[in-house]
Amino acid sequence: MSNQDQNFSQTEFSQSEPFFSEVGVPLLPDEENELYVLQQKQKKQRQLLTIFGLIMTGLIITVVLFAVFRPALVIQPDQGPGATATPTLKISSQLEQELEQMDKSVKNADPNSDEFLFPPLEMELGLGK
Amino acid sequence: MKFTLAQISLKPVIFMSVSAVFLTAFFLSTPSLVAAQELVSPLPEQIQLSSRSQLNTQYRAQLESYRIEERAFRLAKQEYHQLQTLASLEKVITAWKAVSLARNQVLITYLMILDSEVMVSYGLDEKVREQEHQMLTTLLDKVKFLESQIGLVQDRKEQESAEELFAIQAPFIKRAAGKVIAEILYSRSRLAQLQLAEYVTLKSGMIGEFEKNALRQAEKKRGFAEVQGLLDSVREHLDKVQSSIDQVSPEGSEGLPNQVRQKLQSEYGQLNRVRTYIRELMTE
Repeated sequence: MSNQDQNFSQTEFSQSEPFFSEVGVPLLPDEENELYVLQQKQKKQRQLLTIFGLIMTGLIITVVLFAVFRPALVIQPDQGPGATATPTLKISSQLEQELEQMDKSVKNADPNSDEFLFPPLEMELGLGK
Repeated sequence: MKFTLAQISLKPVIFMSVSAVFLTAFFLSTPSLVAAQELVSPLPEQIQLSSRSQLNTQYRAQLESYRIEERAFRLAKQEYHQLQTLASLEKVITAWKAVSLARNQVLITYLMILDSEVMVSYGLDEKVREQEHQMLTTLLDKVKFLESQIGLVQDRKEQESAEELFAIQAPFIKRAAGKVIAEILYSRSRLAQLQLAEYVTLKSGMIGEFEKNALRQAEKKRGFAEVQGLLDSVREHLDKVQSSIDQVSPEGSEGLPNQVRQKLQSEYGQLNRVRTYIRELMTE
């Protein structure tokens, strides 16, 4: 190492220090930096939209499944507790309806009903002598 | 560039969202559509019931209005007899016009009620139903004609001739309505007999389905046969009632409804017995 090499200017060194301290920071022009931020923003947006899309798809599938399998959700007579009570109730209610209909029909045949009596009107409305 | 990227990512989402909304709306609205359809197109029986209920309400209101007018007419008549003035004569003629119009309105609605009942009297032959409907249409035309005559009355002479015209028509209306009522009463008994017979035939053919015990099955079979016998006897008697109504001339008879009522009395008792018997057979 020569003396010339060791004879550097301290002022120049102190001025050049900040320049070396910023070596790790990427020096990008303003336009390229904005593009990076925009890309990040769009990436986030796409992620949100994908989640939203998945939720929607899930909703569609749920609706379709519900519509298709809804009749199967009704408890069959041989399924679950109290399975025997359901058909019995159904039969008795049907029978009750039939019998009520029969009662109604007979009640309707009551000849003493005053439903169609001729209206109580005065048939002579003369002025008299 | 920015716009294109956003558009590409939004397309499937928009499509899926719209599809989801449509599908959800479709599946959720299906029962409502059915319900709405039911509301829009009610059954003919429902229409009949609704119109019948309206006619009944109208009839009651018109009868009440007639009573008020009749009271006013009687007072005006009394006043006319006491005063014998032209003013009191004018007043009584005005009162007569009001009460006569009210009377005709009541008659029109009454005949319309009978007509609506005849149209659903399925215990009658279609031919008889049509005959009675025609008769009621003729009666309605007569009453409407009388109504138009009332409007033309200006003095006492015209009032007397209009009242005379009504007096001639009134018994005819009463007699014809009497026959229609008799037919309706018969139809109701016949319909009840038919419905019970149909029910008994149906149930006696499927005793095994609701009675497993062989002994009780035989008992029920005997019971149903007995009920069938009772219903056959009711039908025979009803046929006789029908013949007695048929023998009456198309002009009808005022006393016919009461005669038919008496004849149907015993059959009504029989139908009630049958009803109780069927109930026992089906529930015990």
